[in-house]
Amino acid sequence: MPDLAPSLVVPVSTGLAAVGVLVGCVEDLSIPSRLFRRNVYDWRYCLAFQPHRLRLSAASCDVIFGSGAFRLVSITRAAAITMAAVTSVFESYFVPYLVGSALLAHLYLMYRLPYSLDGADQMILIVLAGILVMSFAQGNPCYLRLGAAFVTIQVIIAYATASLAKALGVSWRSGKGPAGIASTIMFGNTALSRWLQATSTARVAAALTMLGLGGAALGIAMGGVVAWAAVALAMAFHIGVAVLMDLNLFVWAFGAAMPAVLYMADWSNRIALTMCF
Amino acid sequence: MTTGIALVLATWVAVSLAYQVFPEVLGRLRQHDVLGLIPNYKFFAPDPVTYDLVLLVRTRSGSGRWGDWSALEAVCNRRAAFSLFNPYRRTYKTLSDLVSALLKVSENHDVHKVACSTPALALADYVRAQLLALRDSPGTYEMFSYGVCFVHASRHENTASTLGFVSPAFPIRELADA
Repeated sequence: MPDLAPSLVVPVSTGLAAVGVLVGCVEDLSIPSRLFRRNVYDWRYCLAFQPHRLRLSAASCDVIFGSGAFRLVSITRAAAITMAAVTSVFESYFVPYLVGSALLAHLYLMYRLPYSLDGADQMILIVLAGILVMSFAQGNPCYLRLGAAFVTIQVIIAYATASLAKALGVSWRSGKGPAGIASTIMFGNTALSRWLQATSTARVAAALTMLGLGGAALGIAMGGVVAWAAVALAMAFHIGVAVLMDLNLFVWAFGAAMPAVLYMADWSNRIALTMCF
Repeated sequence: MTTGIALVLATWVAVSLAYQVFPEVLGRLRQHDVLGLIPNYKFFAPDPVTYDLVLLVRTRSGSGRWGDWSALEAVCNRRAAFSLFNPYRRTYKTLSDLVSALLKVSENHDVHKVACSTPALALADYVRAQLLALRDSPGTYEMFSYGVCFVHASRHENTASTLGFVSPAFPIRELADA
């Protein structure tokens, strides 16, 4: 049975997360400046969407640094996770602090933007939290199992929910959902859209998507070789989504979770986790 | 310490799972989730996005005459490189979320309250900034109005459009000649 070495989990996860965060950072930096001043990214609009104006908002980076604070925090996050990825190869003492800094910066961005976030941002948060816990494994291997289990369970929940939510959707069961998505300019693809115009083809595509996601969740839960196959299927799905729908960050966000998933695919690690308590 | 961290992570997992199963019950809790800790894993389900969002704009000159509606910006022409680097991802999601919030506000309020709501004003500021950034319109205009249009089946010949919202008139600064 293939086995992922414990020493590879944090460096590979951190490296993949760093690529995703770096790409996201460059995308954030490409947002025109005029959108930050009296515009959709102005911190006053963002705060107006929050149900509670926390006192922390008064000390928000935007008040201190102005409209460039968003970019500053995005760069800080990217720099911290990149340094963590590099130093994790050498099992450096600084890795937890660097990952913690990246996590704090990410939490700030999540707070700063009550809108414009997507599932990739959510998964990066989960992965950063998991990596933070795993990075303390030098002192205690239980932390590696704990962090990896957290990420693995969240990935299982993600795929299972995505599958069931589609199965419960009338538009997905009828095939109109995927056909409709494919017909949009923003998320669609002309060749795929033509192919899905036939109802039977659209239904098959929808069924394959639902079964694939559900199968990935089940496979990861089962562990062993099946989990490795499920991870390969899931990554192929994410790469396909990136190519067809331009949802590019999902590859890195979920890809960064997979080392933890593969580590927990070994049942001996799952059993060892219970010994930690 | 290990047990404490395990409890925190277990609680996080439990709340995440509970929200997926009981979104209506935990919806209020998620409204207070300012840090985005509770994920939504439904991803284009159960009702996926099957339309393109287009912002329309028209302007009123000093003489009081309104111009025709025109698309402020077409949905961007996608390129193969966007699967690696997508510079429009964040902005389009922002507009999409604002429009969703606007439609939600318009369900329960009258037109004037909707027009003064935060999402409507945010979209107005966005349109204003885009108009000011476009230097191809000669002369000056005093007011503008925007509309939110949903375009279905954009990649087919049988495209269908629906106008979802039309804003009242907003003032704009005078455009200075270059």
